[in-house]
Amino acid sequence: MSGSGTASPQPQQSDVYSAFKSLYDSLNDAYWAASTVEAKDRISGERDEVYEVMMDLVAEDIKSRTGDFQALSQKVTEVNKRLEALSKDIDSLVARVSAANAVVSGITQVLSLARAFFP
Amino acid sequence: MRSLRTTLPLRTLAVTGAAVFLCLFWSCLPSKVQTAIPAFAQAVTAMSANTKAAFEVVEQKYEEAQAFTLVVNYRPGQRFDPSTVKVLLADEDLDARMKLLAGLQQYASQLEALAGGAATSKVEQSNKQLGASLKTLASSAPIKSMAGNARYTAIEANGSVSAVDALGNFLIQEKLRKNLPELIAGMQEPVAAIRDLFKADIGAVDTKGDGRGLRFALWATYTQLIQKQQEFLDANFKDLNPEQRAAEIEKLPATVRARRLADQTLAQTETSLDQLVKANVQLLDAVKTKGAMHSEIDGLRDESLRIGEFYRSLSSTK
Repeated sequence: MSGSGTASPQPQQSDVYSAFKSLYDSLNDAYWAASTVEAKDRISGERDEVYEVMMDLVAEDIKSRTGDFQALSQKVTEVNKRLEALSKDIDSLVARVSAANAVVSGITQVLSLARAFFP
Repeated sequence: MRSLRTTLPLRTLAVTGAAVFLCLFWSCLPSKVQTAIPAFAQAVTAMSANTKAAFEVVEQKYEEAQAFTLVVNYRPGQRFDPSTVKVLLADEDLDARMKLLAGLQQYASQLEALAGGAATSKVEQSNKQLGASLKTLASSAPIKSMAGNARYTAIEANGSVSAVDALGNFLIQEKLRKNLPELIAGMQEPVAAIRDLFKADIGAVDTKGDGRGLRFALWATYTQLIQKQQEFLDANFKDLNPEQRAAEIEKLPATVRARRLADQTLAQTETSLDQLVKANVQLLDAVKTKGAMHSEIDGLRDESLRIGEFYRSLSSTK
């Protein structure tokens, strides 16, 4: 049987960050309010843990997009392959132009020599 | 009947003229595109390096915070646990991002190789070599003695080469004109997605330190360094001489300033991602319409080079 009350909304990622950040600040205040070395050490240790949790949250958030980055890399690779193919076409065009030049020059040579022998 | 002697240079001139005319007035890529594409490539390289540096700076500061936390928390007789030494981001997460940045750089450098004049200069270089060898051949003794009064000159030979040269360049330009707009259009959506994904990674932070992403991580890490520095001073104040005290206390405002500078650098990197998208749009407009196109590209390049200086200064100071 489902409950009749409205479900509480899912916390947003920013809410989670904010909650840990507030806890970190509160522990920092508590550190300076503590009067004994033992209490300060304990509070400092807990604050260090909260810092690590915040860093874990960032790492998890970044990890959540890694699949998107990998998929995007595929698209970029496809465009790059097409650019490579175009580059190869142009290289072959360059080779053909050079070959054409060699032929033209050869013909020019032959014609000029022919003029010398058959004026 | 016209002699061969007069027909050949005329034909050469006609072909060269036609090719030059076609290039100038009909279909070649505008020269503005050819000069802007290298600027685009340079901008993308600098922007990619900055985005990479954003991840490196956060990782480096996280490492520093871990080491300093260990120093401050260290108690004699306490066993060090190597498993507590961590990296912020997993290798596979970083690799995916670096691979994408490398792909983006490859896109820019291939565009530069194609449309930055490299292809046409290949033709010119290849034909310069041919022209030089023809000159040598024409002036060599056996050819001279065979040719006699033929008046086959190096100028004539070079004229023929130039004609094919101009036609070759025209064909290359024509191929680029047909293919580049489509290829650059195909990169509009991926580049916008690159911007969105990296902006999500970089995140945001407010003046209270609330936020998300790398900016939040970096701000929180500097804050942790400030707190641990205070703890270090608190615990060791009596054992430090006046100079040591001054040096340790001075680190507090310096770290606050460094936190602000580092955050601004990440924020500017985020802004340059927006410029990248605009520059890529301008690139497409330029190859399609022959319009002027430098403002966004030059802006992206200048901004990215400036941000790069900040990253270098962040890496060199602790």
